[in-house]
Amino acid sequence: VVQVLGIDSAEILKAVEEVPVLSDSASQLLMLASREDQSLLELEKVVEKDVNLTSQIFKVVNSAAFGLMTPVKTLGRGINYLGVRNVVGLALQMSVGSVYNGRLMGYESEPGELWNHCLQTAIAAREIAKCSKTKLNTDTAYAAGLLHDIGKAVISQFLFGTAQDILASIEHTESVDYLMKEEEITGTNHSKLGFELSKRWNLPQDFAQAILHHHHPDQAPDEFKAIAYIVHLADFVAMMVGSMTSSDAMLYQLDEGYREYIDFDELGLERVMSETCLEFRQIHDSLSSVRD
Amino acid sequence: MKTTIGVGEYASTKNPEENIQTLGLGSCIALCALDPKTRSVGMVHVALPDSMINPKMSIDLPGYFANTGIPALFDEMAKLGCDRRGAGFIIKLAGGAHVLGSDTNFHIGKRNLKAIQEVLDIYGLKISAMDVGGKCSRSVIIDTASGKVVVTYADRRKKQI
Repeated sequence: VVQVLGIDSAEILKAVEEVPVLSDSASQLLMLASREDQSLLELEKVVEKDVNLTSQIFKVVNSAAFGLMTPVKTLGRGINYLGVRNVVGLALQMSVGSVYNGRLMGYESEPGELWNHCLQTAIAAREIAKCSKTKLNTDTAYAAGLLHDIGKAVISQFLFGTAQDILASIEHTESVDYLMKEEEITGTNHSKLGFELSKRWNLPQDFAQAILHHHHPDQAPDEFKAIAYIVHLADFVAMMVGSMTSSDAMLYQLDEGYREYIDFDELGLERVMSETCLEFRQIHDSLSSVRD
Repeated sequence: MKTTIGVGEYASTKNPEENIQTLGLGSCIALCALDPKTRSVGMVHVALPDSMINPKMSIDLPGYFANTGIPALFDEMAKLGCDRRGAGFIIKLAGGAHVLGSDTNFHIGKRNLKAIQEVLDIYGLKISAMDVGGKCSRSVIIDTASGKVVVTYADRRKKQI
């Protein structure tokens, strides 16, 4: 067992084991979202077994945020209207909302900031996936965005009280980022712990690899580079518009290698930012209401 | 009392007990306008330079873009008796951080600053103080009673501009 500054890795891995498991419906929906296509019937079959999720879908789709003239009464229409991405978001929030919604003390964040950041990253990832040079399912990109920072919920407790020292030590250098400081303090980082959690949650490889490599997409295996770069950029889009987990805001290195995988210029990026903001404003309140 | 504005939003007041703030300015820029004549203040949280990329959004959320956000803020301040063209305003800016290791596509903070300067040129207004750029996320608050604009960094350092 390696000890780094008094934290042993067994203790950290034990914390991963303590994270709640995914519900069957969330797990199956993520599996479907990682595939190139899904039929409405398949989605409906998964959702209808989960009574709570079904009732939430009706609640959200008929909420003021969607402004429908006539209420949606059948599950199929509800799923169709919300789209795979929002159904996955709801399922995650209902199943492991406690992982996303807590206050991350290690990052000095407020309750709910991790969820908001992941949601904005997801929306941005979906928009960026439309500019991917290799064909990639936009729902897969969205779900990867929702999951990318789950490791923060685990590592946060081991970073408690370190944020101010980290900020002071990286203030005057361009080459050191927050991830390196996490590694220095705990012997691991939020990407690696997210990857450990992805094993516990039996996540499809697209998500596991996107989580592990979202800060260093160049290190992803070739077949997962595109999704890793998409989530990498989406993470920056969310941070740039002020959605972050607080102390680590903006303090990561951008990998310019994205140009090989994503085809967009400065206006493309601006378009992604504005679309992300619009969708976030629409969906945030209705998805968050699930927490109450 | 604090009024908090989000991305793309704006607010103004002449109530000395109401302060206006915005949190988590990444590459966005908060433009603070102070009108000594009416003792009014206003703030807009600008995310992007130009509304051309999403004209519909500029109707729903004009504050999101420099070219529509500044006129929207000035119109709002005109309701408090300020000059609609901002005559006599003191302008202060904060935000516009850059992404570490970023290429030109990601220089949105710089493009926001340039766009804001261009809009202010049209109004004949100068920037009297700013804390823009760097890699740090910021929050900013206007103390309406004193007219002080205070920037807070992620590491809790504060700076009056």
